Amino acid sequence: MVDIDNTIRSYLGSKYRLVGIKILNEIPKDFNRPKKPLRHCQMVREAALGKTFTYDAKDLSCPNAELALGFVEPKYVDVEPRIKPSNTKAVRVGPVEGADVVLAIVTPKQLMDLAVISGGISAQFKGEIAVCGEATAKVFMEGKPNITVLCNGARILGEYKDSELIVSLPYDDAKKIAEKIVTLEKKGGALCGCLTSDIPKQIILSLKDNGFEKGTDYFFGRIDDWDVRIYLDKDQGGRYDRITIHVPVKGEVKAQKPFTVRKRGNWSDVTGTFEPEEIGINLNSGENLKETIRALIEKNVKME
Amino acid sequence: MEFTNKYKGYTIVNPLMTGGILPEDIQKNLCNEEWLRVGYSLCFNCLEGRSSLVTKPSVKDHLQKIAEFFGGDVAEHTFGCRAAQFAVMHTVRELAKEGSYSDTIIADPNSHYTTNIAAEMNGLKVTEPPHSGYPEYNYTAESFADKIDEVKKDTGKLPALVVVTHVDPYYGNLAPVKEIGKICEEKEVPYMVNAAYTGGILPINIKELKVDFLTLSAHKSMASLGPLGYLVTTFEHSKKVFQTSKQRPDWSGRAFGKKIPNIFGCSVGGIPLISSMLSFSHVKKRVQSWETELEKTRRFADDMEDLGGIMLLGQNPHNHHLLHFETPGLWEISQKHKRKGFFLSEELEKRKINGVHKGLTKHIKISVYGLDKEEIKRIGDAFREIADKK
Repeated sequence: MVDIDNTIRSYLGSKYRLVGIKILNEIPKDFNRPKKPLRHCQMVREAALGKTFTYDAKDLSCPNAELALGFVEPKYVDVEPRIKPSNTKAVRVGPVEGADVVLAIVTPKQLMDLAVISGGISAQFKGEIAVCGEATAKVFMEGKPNITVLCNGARILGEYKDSELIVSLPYDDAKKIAEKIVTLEKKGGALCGCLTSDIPKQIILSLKDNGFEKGTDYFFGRIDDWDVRIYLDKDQGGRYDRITIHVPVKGEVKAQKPFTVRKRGNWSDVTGTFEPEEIGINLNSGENLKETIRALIEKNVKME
Repeated sequence: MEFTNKYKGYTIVNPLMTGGILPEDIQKNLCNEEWLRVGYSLCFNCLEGRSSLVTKPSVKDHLQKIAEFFGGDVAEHTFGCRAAQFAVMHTVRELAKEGSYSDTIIADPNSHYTTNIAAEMNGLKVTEPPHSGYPEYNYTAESFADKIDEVKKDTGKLPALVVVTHVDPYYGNLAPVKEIGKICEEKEVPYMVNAAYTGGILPINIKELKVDFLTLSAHKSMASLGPLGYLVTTFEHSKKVFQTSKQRPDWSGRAFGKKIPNIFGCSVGGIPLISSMLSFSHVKKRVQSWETELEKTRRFADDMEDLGGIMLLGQNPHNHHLLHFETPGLWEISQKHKRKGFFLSEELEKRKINGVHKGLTKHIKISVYGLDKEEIKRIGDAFREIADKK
């Protein structure tokens, strides 16, 4: 099973552990209380540095957190976001495994990395009731990730740095991200982690749809009885701007312009280079690709 | 823990390895003479604090012979070819820092990853001339002249180094090193040739090629255990690249005067170097038979292509023992096989042949270097049987 904390932390390059939050609706057998009442956001930060807590309302020094975490129902004015109905008996802060919500204290750069790997994060925050509400209660209730820019209480009393934010993920989302990181680290585009080309993925897919499998930095396939190779040429600046159609033939072959024939060992290389638009090919969609190549070969290449 | 070598007695066909296989008598010598007993086997008579200065047995003489064999003046052994490349890059980076050159180097578009890593470690930017693409991936010497001019135009300075991989690790193409050497000499740009796949396989003379720095891999191409590389250069550059340590820590006042920072002080002092010293006479001799080896390789390439669905990439006729075939025929078999891409290596292993990259069937890299005709035939037959499973 993937180690969510280690995997994500290593990916982000973070000194902080991920902090799991579990909302307990029954009074637990054992508490692991802070020495004196603390704010929820303070316990989250201490947990990120290695501590764990299991606490109840008596251990909280912040009335907003009592409301947001569902220890009590609001009497006069409602508070949002909050866990409702208020049935919370205790909160566990620390272990990721078995948590409802997983919090990560991050810098903007680390947030960017997490956003990229998770395919985007929609966030809603207002800078109030932040770690308890925006990061814990909202994500617990809605089952969707959120970002909080924290609140003054967290920054002043919780000792969060100006450069820090919190990303909060439902447990399953955190697990999926960790699994994705593991997969990417294994693949990295190739087993060895090196890339043999920078051909855009869309083009690779469109050529595959046309029956052309990617080799190192080119594509191989067959059209009728012809072995056909496609190579995408770059200009001096490294932009893909032309397509070369190769028809390697063992033995003799005849071809006319725009193709040429060149001997290479036992092979005759029939080669033609074109601008895709010039021959009506769209590399991104793959439209007309196979038919165009077939027509070009049929018209210009003959076996001897 | 039981730790056995599954591949004992197998025929190795990995192009990374075939040039590094030790002659059997040397394998025995290493065991019988107890060279394997300790990691510092060469260091009992080290008086001067650097393995390259040991005279009993004479590492110093060996390095001199290595330098001469490759037409150079001075050689040092290194922790692999990459460390030799690092030493050169670090040297030219210092030149760039002084303002004599740009911090951009030119490397061929088929260069080994270690060339790029060595540049990256030294804060050098790499720019490449283009290759011709599929199926040959050739490039011209003239494209290097253009690149040198381009760097000069863009940065106001000459590139700090031109790097050419003598034979590249992807297609086994032989680079126009002599022609590029002439250009570098005319334009006064330092020139490094990475001969990891050729030094110890085919004749090389750096003075004839106008090469300033030659980097070698003993475990790839000089019948040696690894990691071991060599850096061969001329007197013109040896003082800079092999500059000994100058720094002294401020409190203890110690000094490390014989150590060479660019090769991490003192290099390999144990079994890789001993194996290379023992193999050297064998290496010198085999280089003379390179043409015969090449002929065997070309014949094998032809036979492979006759199997159908297999075509040699890179230069054809080929000029090196590293053969890169595109093998769509084998890939088609893999698509229907329960072991998918692993079927090929497993079929070969059943026949006691190992070294093709596991999991790959669209392309294979293979070498029959150093094998006799019977063994080469056995490998060809194995591929024929596997291809017939279609």
